[in-house]
Parts: sequence; C-alpha cells; structure tokens
Amino acid sequence: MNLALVIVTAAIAALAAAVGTIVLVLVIRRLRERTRDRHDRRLRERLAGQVNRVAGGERAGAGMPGRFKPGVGDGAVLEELLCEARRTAEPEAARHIARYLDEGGFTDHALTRLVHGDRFARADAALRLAEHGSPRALPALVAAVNDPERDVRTAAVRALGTLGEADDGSALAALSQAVERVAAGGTERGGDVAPRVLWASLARFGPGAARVLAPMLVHPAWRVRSAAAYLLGEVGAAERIPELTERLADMEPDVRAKAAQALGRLEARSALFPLLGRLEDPAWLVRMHAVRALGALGEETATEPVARRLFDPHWRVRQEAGQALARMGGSAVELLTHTLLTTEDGFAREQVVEELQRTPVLAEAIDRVGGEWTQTAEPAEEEPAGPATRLLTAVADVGAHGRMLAALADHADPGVRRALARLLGPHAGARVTAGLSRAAAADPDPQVRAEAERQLAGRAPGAGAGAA
Amino acid sequence: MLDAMREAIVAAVPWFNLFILGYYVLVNGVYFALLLIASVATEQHRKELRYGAFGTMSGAPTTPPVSVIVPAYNEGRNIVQSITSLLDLNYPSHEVIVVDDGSTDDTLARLTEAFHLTEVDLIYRRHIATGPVERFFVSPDHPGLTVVTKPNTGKADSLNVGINLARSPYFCSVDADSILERNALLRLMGPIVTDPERVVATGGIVRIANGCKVQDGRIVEVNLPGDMLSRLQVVEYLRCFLFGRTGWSSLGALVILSGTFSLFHRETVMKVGGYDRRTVAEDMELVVRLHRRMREQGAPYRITFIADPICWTEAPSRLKQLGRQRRRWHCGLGESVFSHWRMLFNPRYGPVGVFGMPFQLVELFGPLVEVLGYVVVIGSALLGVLSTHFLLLYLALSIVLGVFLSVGAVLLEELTERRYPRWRDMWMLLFVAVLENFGYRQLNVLWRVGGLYQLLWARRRWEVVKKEGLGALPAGAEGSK
Repeated sequence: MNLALVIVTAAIAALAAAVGTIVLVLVIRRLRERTRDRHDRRLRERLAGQVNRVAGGERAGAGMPGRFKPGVGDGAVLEELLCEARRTAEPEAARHIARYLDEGGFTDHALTRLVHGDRFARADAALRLAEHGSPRALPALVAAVNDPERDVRTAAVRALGTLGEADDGSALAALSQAVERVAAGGTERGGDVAPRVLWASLARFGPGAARVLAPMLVHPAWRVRSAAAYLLGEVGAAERIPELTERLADMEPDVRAKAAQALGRLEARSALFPLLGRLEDPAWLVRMHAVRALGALGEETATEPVARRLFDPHWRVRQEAGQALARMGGSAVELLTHTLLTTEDGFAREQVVEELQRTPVLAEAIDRVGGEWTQTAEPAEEEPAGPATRLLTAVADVGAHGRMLAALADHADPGVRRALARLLGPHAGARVTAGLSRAAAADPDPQVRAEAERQLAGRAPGAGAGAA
Repeated sequence: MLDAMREAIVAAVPWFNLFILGYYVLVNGVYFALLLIASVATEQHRKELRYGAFGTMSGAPTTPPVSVIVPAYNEGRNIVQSITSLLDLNYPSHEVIVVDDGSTDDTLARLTEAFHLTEVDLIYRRHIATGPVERFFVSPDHPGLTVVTKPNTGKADSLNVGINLARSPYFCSVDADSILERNALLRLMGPIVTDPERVVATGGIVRIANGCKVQDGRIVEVNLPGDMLSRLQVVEYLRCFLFGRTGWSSLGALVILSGTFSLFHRETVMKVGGYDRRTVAEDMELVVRLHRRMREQGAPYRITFIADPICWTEAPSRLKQLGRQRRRWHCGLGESVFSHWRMLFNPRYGPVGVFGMPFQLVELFGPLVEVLGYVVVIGSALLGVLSTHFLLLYLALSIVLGVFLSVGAVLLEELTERRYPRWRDMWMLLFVAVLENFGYRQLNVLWRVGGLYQLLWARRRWEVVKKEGLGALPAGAEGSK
C-alpha cells in the first residue's frame, strides 16, 4: 500500500512539474516572439526605404558595404522583404531585386544551405532560391530534384516551376527526369514527389512545357501518357494537336479520354473526324470527353452524332451530350427540341429538358404560349397544338414543372398564365396542385382564376395541402 | 445477513479498486501516448507544410475539383454567412450544394435573397438511395451554387442527396453553421494531392466560433467566447482534435472525422452505400464502414486528419443543448461500435481493429465505470472502509493528469496555429484547463451515461441542438436565436 502511495504521489509531482514546465514554455515562447515581432516590425519599417531603393535599381554594396549579411539579423529581414516585394513588383523592379539578392550574397547563401543544410534547411533554401529569381540557382535546383529527401525534391520541383521563365532547358529536363523516376517507381504513392505537384510545376512553364510533354505521349506508362495529354491541353500547346489526335487511338481508355479532353481545350478543328469516331468508343469516359470536345468545337457536322449520344447507355455521356448541344446553340438546340418531341426514351427526354432550361428556348416558349391560346375566348376541350404548347406539354410530361409554375405565379401576361394553368392541369403532384390553388385564389385575372379552378375541380380535396 | 453482505462488499472493494486502476491506467496511458505521438506528428506536419504540395495547389490545373455539400435545417441565421464563405474559398474548382432539409424557418428565403436563386428542374439520379427531393435552385451570380429542397429526413439523407448531385470526384461535408477559413479546403486536399491513390477521406480541425467576429462570411477577429460553457468547449475541442485525432491518425486507427468538416472520395463512399440514415452519428459510422470495407476488400487506403485546415463552428452555449449534443454523440458512438462489433480486437482490420475500435469500446463504457467509481467511493465511506488519504491522492492525480492533457493541447495550439494571440486568452485557456476538472467533466460523464441509456433502452433520434447564431454579423445579416 505504501508503495502505491509513493507511486501515486510521485506521479502527481511529475505531472504537476510537467504542467508547470508547459506553462513556462508557453510564457517564454510568447515573450520571445513578442520581442522578436517588435524588433522585426521596427526593422521592417526601417528597411522599407531600402527595399524601395533596391527596386529602383540600387546595387548591393552601394550604400553601406557589408551591412546586410545574408541570413543574419537585418540581412535576413531584408531578404524576406525583398522576396515579398518581388512577388508583386513590375518586371523591371523584379529584375533589380533579383540582381541585388544575387550581388549581395543572398543567393550564394541560399545555394550553400541547399547543399549543406539539414533536410528542412535544404527545402527552405530551394523555395527561397525560387523567390530570388536568379537564373544562377537553376543548376543547383536541377540537382536538388534528385535529393535523397522527398521534402527537398518536392521543394526543388516547386521552385523549378516558379523559375519557369528563366529556364534554359535544364529545369524542364530535370522535371522530365523526375517524371521518369516517378513512373519507374510504378506508383503514385508516398515515396517520391507527388505526381500532381510535378505536373503542376510543369504546367507553370506554359506552352514551353510542350517540348518535354509531347515525347511523354508515347511513354510506356499509361499514367504518364494520360497526364501529358491532359497538360498539353491545359498549357495551350496547339502545335501538338497531331500527336494528341494520334493518342485518340491509344490502347488505354484514360489516355484516349484525356487526349479528347485536350483537343477540346485546344479547339482542334483538325481533329473533328477522329473525335467523331470516338463517339462509339467502348469506354464511356472517352465518349463523354469526345462529346464535350465536339461541343467546344461547335461544328455543325457534329450536331447529329452528338445528339445520338443523348441515347447513350451511360448517364454521364447523355448529360454531356445535352450540355454540348445546348452550348453549341442554333441548330443544335433545335435538335434538342426535336428530340424531346419525337423520342419515347425517358432518359433522353429528361436530359433534354434539363439542358433546355439553360437556353432561352423554354422562356421564349412560355412567352409565346399565351398567343397560341388567347384565340379561344372560352376554354376549348381540344388543346391547340402550337409549337410552344407542344414543347411545354412535353416538358411538363417529363415532370419539369418548376419554370412553368414560376411563370404561372408571376408572368405579366394573363394569357400566358391561363395557358400554363391549362397545361399544368393534367399533371398530378402536390407542387402543381399548390401552384394552381394559389392561382385560383390569388391571381388578379378572373379568367386565370377560373381556369385554375377548372383544372383543380377534378382533383381529390386537399391534394395540395402538403406543399401549400 | 447484513454483516455477511458488508464482509462481501469489503472483500470486493480492493478488486474493484484494482479494476478502476487498470481502467484508469489504460485510458490515461493511451491519452498520454496520443499526446506524445501528436506532438511529434504536428511538428513534422508543420515543417512539411511549408515545403510540401500545398504551395503548388492554388490555381494548379492538377488540383482535383471538389463538391462542398452543406446540409441545412433551420439555419436561416447562419446560412448566408456560411455559403458566402464557401463560395469565396481559395480553391481552383469547387461547387457548393446546399441541401435544405425541410427547414421551417427562412433558410431558403434568405438564400434566395442573397444569391438571387432561380428555380430549375434538374434530373435527380439516386446513385445512393435517398428520400424524395422537391425543388432545385441555381444562382445566376454564382454558377457553382446549387440549392435543393427536400422534406425533413435527417442529416445523413441530406448528405446522400448532396452526393447524388455532386459532380466532382471528391466531396466535402460542411455544417451550415460553420465558416471555413479561405485556404481550408485547399489545405484539406493536401493529403489527397500527395497520395491520391490511397487517401479516401481526410478531416480538418473544427474550432469554436462563439465570440469571434464574422464579416462577409469570414472570421475577422478570433476571440474566446464570452460564456464559460463555450470556453470549456474550446479547450475540449483543442484536446480532442489536436492530440486525439492527430494521434489516432498517425497510428492509422482514426475512426472519427467530424461531419462538420471532412472530405471524401465520392466514388468510394458511393460504393459503401453513402451515409447510414439509421444512425445518429452518421459521420463516425461512415468512417468505420469505410475502414471495414476497404480492409475486407484488401484495398490500400488511408483515412487521415490534419490540423491546419480550420473550420469555425458554433458550439451550444446552453447546458440543455450541450447535453443533447453530447448524448447524441455518445449514442452514435455506441451505434458505430455495435454495428461493427466484428472489427473489435480483430487483426484483420489492422490498427483500427486492434487499437481504434477497442478504445472506442472503452470510451463507450467509460462513463459507466466512472459513475460506478463514485458509487463505490460513497459506499466505501458509508461502510467505513475508505482510505481518505488514498482517495485524495487519487483525486489529485486524476485532476493533475486532466490538467496536463488539456495544457498539452493548449501548447500544441500555440505551436501550430496560435489563433488566440492575446495574453489574457492564453491565461484564460490555461485557467479553463484546470476548471474543467471541477464539474464539467462530471457533467459530461452524466450526459454520456444518458447517451448510453438512449442507445440501449430509449428511442434513438436526432435531437436538434439550438444555437445562438454566429456572432457580430454585419448589418442586414445579423440575427440571434
């Protein structure tokens, strides 16, 4: 028992000491940071003028030689301030700052840390060199892409992406090698630089990246081919359209899909027929991207083949086909309307209705429908079959009542409201009943109220209570 | 007869004491280990953050798109702030889907007014089974915003509706009374960008927004809450997230990602059937189910937590509401443990089966053990077999350990984000770390026993927790419950 008491007492004492230590650490840390922050703030205020002079063209050593030592005191803060200023500076001022950092020994200091520091110091130095913007840093950063530590490699890859403009070809070559290494590892996991980081850095080179990306289109690893195809589209490498078109026949569906996507991004009209051929691809992802690309091209020739994809077995392709046709406008939208009126395929009709809402067609039909109905003073048993009426009837049959209900509530033309009340009448559902009830009770026009009441007459009492 | 009973009880007390001691050592040993592991992991992550993937993700064409799903039930007071913050996130490609779960307040009206919503008829495809949906709205000003209304069928069903409507390969669930920091989503994506093939879910830290100043959907000034109950929750959240979740995540045994702010691979979630509508803690249940399915299929996967993506949320500031929340959480914990009991102590499920789930079982019945402890202490005192000396020491140890863990969490906060830079806030946090051991902890035990009762004998249901509304809103958007 005594032993237990001793143990418990000792544990209490140890924990109390630990709590005290933590509190002490908190206080000391805050005090130190407060002192440092104050000092930094004062220093920043003092050095603001120096930053402006550097941006204006002052050379290192022109003022007080040796005053700003890299990585130490005022020098470290000045470096920080110059890097911050360079991010938003005009090109001329940015060049001046880069020259100052180079001539003042800051770049050399970072280069030394990139080679001799611990892993975090090396990674930090790589990013710092990117901020300096000195082309002298390129060889060291290229070497750092092969650093044994992943953090350093990642930082070097990021830095090379930032330095893209200053590249003499070696940065792109280094990134290309990094891609090879990641691909050879056969995995996108853990051990190496994350491929997405690598690709993002390559993308920062813009169209210039095409010269390393294009050869990757025939890389043995399909992930590399796929990423290269995607990025060629993203960087706007229009001169690589022939190679991308070839990839539409790649054995890997993901590569074919990415190639189609890139061709769409590049609006590659020369790839029209190969893209049309991909509409019958066995992989739905490829068909979907081909449809999207053809929508982006907006060629009349593609309208009908794309419209046929409204009946695709995969809903994503149908959705994309609808969106593509809506985007293409003109005759493609007419084709959408025609499909809605003629097909029995419920999926296709739904998709068309969804897309028509993104076009002015529905709003125009609603505006016109009143004109097709006001010719009869009394409600006729036989519905007039004007084009707007037929379209809206088909839309309502699909179950898309939202637009029509909204117009029933607030359209300025009472003729339109009356026609809509008649068109919505045969449709069940709490929302429709509620909309008609509102019109029957509150519409300012007596004819609309009468029509709404007539449509409600045949319904079960209280059918719309839930929605009302 | 009474003497015999007394003798039996007296004989049983040392054994019970041993049991309590074992439980105590186990639980606190685990907490202690988690604190140590989390300290190392946090420091590591802090350094990696600077040099890792995050810096390249903003604006990069290779950052995956995300659908942010916001289930909302009677959130009229917060919804505009919350959605404004989500639309303004620093992320290259994201959409926001608000699922109005049959609100009876002005949630939809406020959204319509603020974002000029117009009704459209979208096709609703039930990839995951859900209840009915009613209306769809889009905003001409914000093409990435979709609002869907449905009858009140619960949060899990609302999230499933959002998943069905989502168009991105990943989705992020965010509560409607929460505000994300501008880079939060980008940071949360970090583990996925780094390891896209394995990471199927990731969660960020949730912090208490009570007392903070909110303007145009942004936290513009971080303050500690004005009331003590919310302050106690601040320390509790720090402890829970900064060393609890970080520690379990490092061990690969994380079984909870807060539904307030977590990100999932959409297809993987759809394959396991989405959120379970029958449970009251759908977030935990989904994570446990993901672990289970992935392990059973032998698929490589990771579920991670990182502490730097921050989501600010409103905490209940009234005891009754807090009690409801805690009962529900504990009940949900029990549901997850019971419905996946096969995973308990089962090495087939890796660290989750061996460490994560068994510890949840300990957590589940912990409150009972604590209550039993109090009963035995009182009983022993009545029978005259209580060693006052030992009891006092034991209590002291318990309190000092509790303080140590909470102060450790405050230290982790200081080392990572330091969102409470004022000295008085730091002292207040330290004071609260001590204070919570006197009353708040015991209250929590009682609430959790209530949750256990609900789980085993009462009807389980989602109890709505009323909140006050995010504070200091700009004119026109301000309100209080």
